[in-house]
Order: sequence, then C-alpha cells, then structure tokens
Amino acid sequence: MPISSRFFVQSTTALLLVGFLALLGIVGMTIWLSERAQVYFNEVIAARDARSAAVDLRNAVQTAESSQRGFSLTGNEIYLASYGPAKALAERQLAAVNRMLASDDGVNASLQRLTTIVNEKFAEMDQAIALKREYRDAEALALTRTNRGKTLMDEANIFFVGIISAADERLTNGVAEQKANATLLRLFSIISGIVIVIVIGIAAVTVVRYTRELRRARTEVSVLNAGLEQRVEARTADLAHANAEIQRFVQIISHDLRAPLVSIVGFTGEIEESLGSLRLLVDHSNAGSGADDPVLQEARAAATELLPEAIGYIRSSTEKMERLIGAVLKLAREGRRPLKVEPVDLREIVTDAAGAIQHQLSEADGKIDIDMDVDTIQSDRFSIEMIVGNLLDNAVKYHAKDRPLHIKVRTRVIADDDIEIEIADNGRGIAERDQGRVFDLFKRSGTQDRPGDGIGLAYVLAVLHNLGGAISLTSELGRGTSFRLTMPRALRAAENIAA
Amino acid sequence: MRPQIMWPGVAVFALGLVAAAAPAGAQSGPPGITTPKPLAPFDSSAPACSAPPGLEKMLAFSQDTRREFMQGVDQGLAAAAKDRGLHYRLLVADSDAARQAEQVRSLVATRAGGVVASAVDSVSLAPRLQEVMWSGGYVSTVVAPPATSLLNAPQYLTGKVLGDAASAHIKGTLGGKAKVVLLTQDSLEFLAPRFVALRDSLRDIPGATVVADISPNPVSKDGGFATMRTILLANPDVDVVLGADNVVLGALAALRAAGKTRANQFLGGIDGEPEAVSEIKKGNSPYRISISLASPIFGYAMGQHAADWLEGKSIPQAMDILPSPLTAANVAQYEADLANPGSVYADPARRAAYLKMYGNICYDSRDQYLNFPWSSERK
Repeated sequence: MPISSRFFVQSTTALLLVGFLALLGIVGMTIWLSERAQVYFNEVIAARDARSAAVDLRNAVQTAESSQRGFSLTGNEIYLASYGPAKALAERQLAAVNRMLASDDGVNASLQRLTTIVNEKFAEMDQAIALKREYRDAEALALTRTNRGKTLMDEANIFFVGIISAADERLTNGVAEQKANATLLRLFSIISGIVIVIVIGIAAVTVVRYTRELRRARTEVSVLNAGLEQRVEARTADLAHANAEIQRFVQIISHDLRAPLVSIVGFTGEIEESLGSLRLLVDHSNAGSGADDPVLQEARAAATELLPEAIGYIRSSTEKMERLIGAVLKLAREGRRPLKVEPVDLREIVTDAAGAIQHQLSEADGKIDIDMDVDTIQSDRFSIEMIVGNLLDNAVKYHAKDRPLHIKVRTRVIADDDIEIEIADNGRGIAERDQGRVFDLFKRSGTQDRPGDGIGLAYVLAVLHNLGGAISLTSELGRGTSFRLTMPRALRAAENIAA
Repeated sequence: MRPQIMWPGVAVFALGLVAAAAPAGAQSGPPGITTPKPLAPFDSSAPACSAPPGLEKMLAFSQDTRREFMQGVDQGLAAAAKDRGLHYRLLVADSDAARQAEQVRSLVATRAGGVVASAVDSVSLAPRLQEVMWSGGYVSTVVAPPATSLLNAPQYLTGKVLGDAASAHIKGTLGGKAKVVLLTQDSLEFLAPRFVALRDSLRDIPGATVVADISPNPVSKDGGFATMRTILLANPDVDVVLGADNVVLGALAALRAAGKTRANQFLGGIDGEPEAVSEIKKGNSPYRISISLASPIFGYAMGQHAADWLEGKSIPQAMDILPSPLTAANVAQYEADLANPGSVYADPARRAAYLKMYGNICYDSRDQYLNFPWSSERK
C-alpha cells in the first residue's frame, strides 16, 4: 500500500515522540537513581559510623578484659597499662553509639541494656582488679568462677552483633537496592534502546519506502512529463499549423471577400454614375408630355429617391464590411507578426501616446497623470505602443461629457518579475453586465454615439496575449474604468505566445 | 507411663567428671585400667570364659534420683532381667550418696551377680562398685568409672547431630543464610564439646551468623525465655535457635510472646524433653528436632550384658549411647522402640542405630575394668 504524505508525517511524528519518550524515560530514570544513590550514600555513612563505633566499643571492652585477666593471673601492673585507655575509649564509643542510634526508636531498649551491661562489665573488672591489688586472690577467683564476667561479655556481644548486623544489613540492602536499580536502569536502557532502534528502524523503513515511492512517482512524472512535452510540442505544432491555416483562411476569405466587395463598390459607382443619366432622362421626360405618366413618376422616384438611398446603403455597408475585413486582417497579421524583443522605454511610449491625444484631451478639458515606477522593459515596442495607444484612445473616445476627463497612467513591478500598467479614466464606465464581453471582437457596449467597430479592446487583448500578458478591468457605470495590464518585465524572444 | 529422658547427657557425663576427680582409695583388688587408652570395637565372637562362681542371678540398679531419664534405664534393665531370668532389684538413693554406697554394699553382701549404678557421688561410690567387681560381679555405670562395662554419652556427636540438622535446614530451607542463636551451658564444662560441635557444623555455612552465643542463667525454660527476650532486643529476626531442650523451649516461648515465630525457623534441642517432643509432634511448630539418648534401650543392653557376664560370655568394656534425632517423621518409631527395647536389641541393625560397643571383657579378664573417664571422642 503506498504511503501517503500525511501518513508519513504522522507516523514520523509518532515515532519521534516514542523515541523522545524513551529518551525522556532514561533521563528520568537516571535522575531518580541518582537521588536514590545519594540516599544510599547517606545511609552507608550512617551505617558505617554506627558499625565502626560498635566495633570499637567491643574492641575496647575486650582489650580491657584481656588487661584485667592478665593482671588477675599475674598480679603484674604492666597488664593494666591498656586498661584505663580501653575503658575511656569504651565510654566514648558507648556514648557515640547511643548518639548515632538515638533517632532509631526500635533500638532504644537495646541501647539501654547495652549501656547497663558495659557498665556492669567494667564494674566487675574494676572489682576483680581491686581484689587482686588487695591480694584477696581467693575472692578474685571466686568472682571469676561465678562466670558473671563471661555472661556480661556474652550478652554485650549480642548487642554488638545486633548493631553490626543491622549496619551490615542496611549496607547489604543498600547494595542490593543499588544493584537492583542498576539492573533496572540497564534493563530500562536496553528496552528503551530497543524501542529507539525499533523506532529508528520503522522510521528508516518508512523513509525508505516513502523515498522509493517518491522516486518512483518522480520517475512516473518524468515519464509523463516527457510524454506531455512531446504531446504539448505536437499539440503546439498542431495549433501553430491550425493557426497558420486559420490565418491563411482568414486572409483568403478576406481577400476573397474583398474582391467582390471591390466589385460591388465599383459597380455601385457605375450605378451611381448611371443614375445621373437616368435622372436626366427622367427630368427630360417630366418636361415633356409624359409628366403625368405613372411609370415615369415611379421612375423619377426611383432615380431621385430610392436608388440614391439604396446606393447610399450599399456604400455604407461595403465601407463597414471593408473596415471589418481590414480589422480581421489586422488581427490575423498581428498574430503572425514576429515580436522584436528590445529595450523599451515605457515612459517614452506613454508620453508619446499622451501627446497623440493631447488635442482630444484639450477638447475634453482633460488631463493625464503619469506615474511611472517602471521605465524600461524588455519587450516588443510596437505591441506596447498599440496597447497603450488603443486604451488612451478609448479613454478619450468614451469620456463623460459632464466632467473634465482625467486619465491616470501608472506602472509598477509586481510579483514574479512582472510589471503592471494601469490606465484609469473617469469616463462613462462600463455596465457590469457588459464587462465580461468588451474584449470580444466586434462587441461594443454603452451608448453607440461614437464611431467604432468593437475591435480596439479585442486587438489589445490579442497583442497583450502575444506578449504573455493579461488584462482585466474594473469599472463602474458613470464613474470610470480602470484597465490593469500585466506582462513580463523581460520578454524572452521565444515568448511569442501566438506563434 | 512411658519413660522420658531428662538431661541424659548432662547426668551421664557429670558423673564421669566427678569420678575422674576422685582420689584413689585403699585397694584390696586390681585397680583396673587407670591410664586412658582407646578401645577396639567390640568383638561379639570373642571366645567365652569362665562363669563367675557363687553369685546370685540377680541384677540390681542403684539409681541416684527418680529422674525420668533414669526411670528409662530402670525400665530397660527390668525388661532384660525378665527376658534373661534374672532377679531384678531397684535401689533408689534419692540423691543421698551415703545411702547409695550402703545400698551397693548390701548388694555385695547378698552376692548380687550384676549391679548397674548412676552415682550420686561417683567418688564415694567407686570403692563399693570395685568390691562388686572384685567379687566377680558385673558392674556397669552411667558414665562414671569404675565399671566392668561403662556407658558413655558422646557429647560432641550429640552436638554434631543437632548442628548438622540445623545446617541442612539453613542450606535447604533458608537459602544458606541464617541468624543463629546458641544457648550454651557454661555451668557444666563437660558439655562444651556439644557446643563446639554446633559451632563446627555452622562454620561450614558462610551465610550463618551466630548473633548470640550465651549461656542462659539459670539453665532452664525461664532462663531461656529471659535470654531470648534480651536477644530479640538486638536481633529481632532470628532464624535458628540451638541448645538444650529446656532453654530452647524457653526461647520458643519468648519468640511466640514477641510474635517472632515463623514457619521456616528452626529450633532444636538436646535431651528429648517431653515438651519438646510434644512440639515436634505438632508438625507446624518451628521446634523441629530434639536429640535424645534412649535410656530404656541402653538399660536393656546393660541387662543383657549382665546376664551374658554371669554366663561367662565376653561383653563390651564400654558402650556409646548414640544420639537419636527426634523429628516429626520418626518420633513415633522412636517411641515404639523405647516401649519395646528388647526388639531393638534383638535386631542388630536397629541396635547399631542406638548403641556402639567397644572392647571385650569377661570374668577371666575382669581385672581389665575401666577405671578412668573413658570417652570414645577422646583424642
């Protein structure tokens, strides 16, 4: 199934989101583990300190006990050298253990008991030393044989082991937690890595598939384009051929029409000349006896009224037909005329065209404003002159008689390196219903009080089309009309559209 | 009532130690073997010798107290005497050494063929027992010499059986990790080997931590309770408790009072105390084992040996009463064996499970009686 662009974007976004979430998870997990590691580190320090204090306390008691036993056996004071320091160390470490574990409610009873035991142990050892120093060996031996000292030491060991075991357990649990956390992180990272790899894999597959499909589509488009260009070229050639055929046809028709038209005009002249003879004949007849002859009367009417009128109609019709044929020929020739692309001074053309209508402007009490942002373009001078000239002629021709004519010509560069020429007037304006057909050949609008055949705007449209341009209008009846022409700023030689 | 064992190892070995410390008295007969030496295994096929002349077919038991353990000896002796056609007499000293000595003297006077004694004071009783031997009679004592055939309770082996059972539990059930409490008995030095054995068993398990190695004071159920309560202050979670039955029963009570008993705990004791056996029979108690010395069975063996002696047969110079581990699985069979020691003795395999015999002696070689605190475990 082909991958749509939308699917590609959505799937890629989703995959990126999944990958991002996986990375976010790893980062979050790492931060959490760091926090746990800090907690563990603090616990390790606390457990290590408590353990160390308990071990030191036990060692101190054992050192004191060894010292006391050595003295009890030998009576040698040398053995007691370490007794005092050991006792002092034991007292300090006992206080340290109590301080370190004071916050743990569960061990308060243990600490109280341990304190009692250690104190009793030292009291027992002090008593044994005192008895020995007083040479009361039997009593000292009896004291030893009570096993009181051993019992106290055994019981103290229970608490030492308890504190050390608890510390070891905290350390072990901490290490286990750290291991578990590390394993968890490793597992999570592996899973996330797999997810990311899968995401990347899916994304890569999607991209590859999408790219492959794009390449295939591009290939298909290229193939189609190649075919299309060939078809366009063929069609263009066909159109050019057809256009040439039409133009030849138009020329032939025009020529064939013009030939009989010339004959009609000629024979009309001969008829008109003959009509003079006829009119003389009639006049002579009127002067004779046949003045009342009805036939003669009818002939007189024909010679003096009907025929001149008919000839007048024939003349005006043939003149109109000639103009029309001329217009058709002009359009046909324009279509065939090769464009001469050259630097064209737009300002000069507009100024010359304005000068050409200066007389009519003066008669209409009008003026023309020229605002040129674009001076020189690459185009066909003749075409530009025809376009501008026709539009200015129209503006003058159809000006409103109730107000002075005001024409504005403005040029400017628009997007895509095109230029726009706007020619606006405050003339009669064009009714909205006529605006769509004023560019059609032989179509006119509004009051037909001015001579014209409806050719000008069609000609402008045809010429502008040859330049690769377009024309549009905005008009309001009784207010004026504005024509906007767009064309390339630089016409290429090959852009003779009609060709 | 079925006889029960009460501190057998303690009683048995204590007598031996007291005897060992006794001063030598005036001798009117051979002193016996006074220098410690090892004994070869008993040879049951050793040739017979002369039967002691002029002695009554009578077996007497000079009992120190009416302890259940000794009641078991009495039961075994009576059964053997009955089976072998001997006249049986029980003389209880009720912890009166002089009375016991006098009772034994009277037995010499009546030319009793065999005397078994559990001494109140082995030192004062020794001369009287020698008189029996010099008269040709059979003398067997519970641990303390002198004796024609001396009974020994191997303390190390007793502790080792318990320790190995605990080790197996730690390895098999507790995953090799355990907090262990050893309730010792400092007041009796001769019991030290059993605790050495316990420590030796546990030494092979790196995960076993001895959190307490202490002697309850007193060595009783109450002492065990108080000591365990103290231990729980410092070590709230205990997995294994080992010691004599009475102190371990006290520890169990303390654990229960603290709500610290668990199904996977292991509590084991020595002595086969009735309450311990009762706990074992429950099946769901953490009290899993008690190491017992089967007094009716060795009592029965003593009676048989006395009869053999009077018939001129060779008998063992010494005999170990082997520790019997009582568990929920075997306690019924054990009790059946105690109820009928004759059937155990008649079956060599079952007999070997309870008794191990050393050396040979008969009427003709009666001067080779043991007069030192012999132990099969002596290095």
